[in-house]
Amino acid sequence: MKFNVTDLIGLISSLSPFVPAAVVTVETVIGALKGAGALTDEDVDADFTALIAQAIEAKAEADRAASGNDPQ
Amino acid sequence: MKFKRLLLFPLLAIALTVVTGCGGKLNVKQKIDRDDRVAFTALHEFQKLETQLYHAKAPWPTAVQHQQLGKLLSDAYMMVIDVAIAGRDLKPGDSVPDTITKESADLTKLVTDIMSLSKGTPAAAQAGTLQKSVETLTATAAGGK
Repeated sequence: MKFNVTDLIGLISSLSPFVPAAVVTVETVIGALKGAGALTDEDVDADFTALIAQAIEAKAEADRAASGNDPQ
Repeated sequence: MKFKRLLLFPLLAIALTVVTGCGGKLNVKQKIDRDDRVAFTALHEFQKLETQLYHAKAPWPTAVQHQQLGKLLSDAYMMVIDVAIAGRDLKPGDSVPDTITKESADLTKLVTDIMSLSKGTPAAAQAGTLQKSVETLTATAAGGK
């Protein structure tokens, strides 16, 4: 059985209002999936790709703040 | 729906903790993925908090500080992206490339600047979490040589 890491992390992120330790949870999830033999290299590559997309989006917001064009 | 979610998380956490205890170790690529994502999440949580305070016209950050932090965060995200790209390119048996080692070391220095700008503010604790996550990524990169 293969897990879609991105979907799972998305699920956990959606729980974040109830989970102050969401960051630690992500670490636990990935470690647990590997332990269960369910995390393949394809899953890891997919997660890297998702991470890149998310970081690009967050960077765009940071760039807006850095430009001074982010009114209060 | 909220109750189901509240119930789901503890069950999930318990199940995953048990599985982790029985399971094997992560390889270098998986560790880089894990730690880069944790660093990104910590950066993003800091950014959300800082932005929220800024738009709420809190005493911190000022407009100038918001701009300075925006630049630091932008550079930090670029480093996260570079690590992720290099991590994705890793093949089985590869050791950690210099790119990842350098980017994570640079990220550590950059986070120090974020910490300085956040000292004594409502974002200080999150900045501390961010620093720890980046130190973990740097240690993983160094350990994978």
